Amino acid sequence: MERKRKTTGSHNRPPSVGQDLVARRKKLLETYFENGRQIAGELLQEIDAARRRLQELENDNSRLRLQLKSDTAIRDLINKIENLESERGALLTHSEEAARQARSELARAAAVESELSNLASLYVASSQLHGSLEPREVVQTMGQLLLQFVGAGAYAIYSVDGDWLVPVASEGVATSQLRRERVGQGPVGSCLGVGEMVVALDRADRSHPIVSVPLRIGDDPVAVVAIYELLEQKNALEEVDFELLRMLAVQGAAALAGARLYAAAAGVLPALPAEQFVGARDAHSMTGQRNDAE
Amino acid sequence: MSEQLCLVVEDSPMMRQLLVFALARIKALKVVEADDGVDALRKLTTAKFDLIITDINMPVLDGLKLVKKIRSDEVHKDVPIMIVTTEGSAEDRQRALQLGANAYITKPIQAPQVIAKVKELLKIP
Repeated sequence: MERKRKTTGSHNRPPSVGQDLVARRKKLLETYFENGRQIAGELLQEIDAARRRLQELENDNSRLRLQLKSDTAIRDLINKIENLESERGALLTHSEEAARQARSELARAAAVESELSNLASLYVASSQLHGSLEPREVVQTMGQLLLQFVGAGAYAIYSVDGDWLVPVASEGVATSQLRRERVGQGPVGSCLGVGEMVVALDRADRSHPIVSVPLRIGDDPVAVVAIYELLEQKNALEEVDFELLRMLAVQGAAALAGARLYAAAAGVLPALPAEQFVGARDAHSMTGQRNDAE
Repeated sequence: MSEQLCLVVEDSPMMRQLLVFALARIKALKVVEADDGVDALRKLTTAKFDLIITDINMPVLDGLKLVKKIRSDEVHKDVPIMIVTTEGSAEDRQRALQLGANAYITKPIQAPQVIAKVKELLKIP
């Protein structure tokens, strides 16, 4: 009530100190609230900006998280690719090694087949040489061996008759070229003197053999095989051919000597007494005799 | 796989034995031997052969005449024929192939080569 009164009384009087203070207070309050409003507005704006910034940061964060995930996936994929590449490399190496081994095995199998073929040739030739006790057939077999197994297109077989070599069979050689020679001498007979196969494949002179094979039993000469020319399709003599010729030198000599002896004995083989080759105990049991002292 | 029948015609017992040795490496292949062309014709009447291997130079009836006779034979006109011979010239080869031979191998033979050709003719894997 008192205040009201004072206020009512102020219309006509100059403002008092109190009124001034009130006015100033009022102004101050207005200024204060005005400032507060401004500050609150600014704060709200800042909050809005901060929210937006926060939203942006969250967006960035999400994006970065996604990117990170994607990078990890890519890294995983790269690792997988590297592993696969490594496995592929290992498989390739393994496959190449397997292929190399397969090639090696195939080559070995081919070599074994070839060796078997050579052994079969040697076996067949040897068994055929000893398959007859007829000298003419043995000589024919030797000729077949030279033509069909060695590939000799022109050859002659000489048999030892005393000190002479006598041509007994030939193929592709002119009859005029075939003549007797002394054992150990001449183009054909000299190999018996040497005691070894004589090879001169580059010889141009066809009157001389390119290969002469002495057939001997021990030191006794039996025959000579002379090759003058190879078949058209046969370019050179190979190791198996020399094996066959070495076999012919030994087995051919035995077969021919045996057949000649058999023919000389008029086809009668002399009996061999068993006691001559077996032990006394065996001989007694074979003849049915028993030693009472035993 | 059913057994196949092969006729080997060769007058040289040594070469015949070698061919039989080589062919024994092929499973399910039975070999019948003939020692010349006439013997071969006789044996051709006794069975149906799947392959004929023949030499050219043989007494009585040579290999080329045999090929001609086989090609006119109702039963064996389509049977594969392989020539194995010492005759190595291009003319001989040409002549044999023109007469109806399917393969031509020159002596001296290598067993693996003969086996491979026989397998090819008989379509053996």
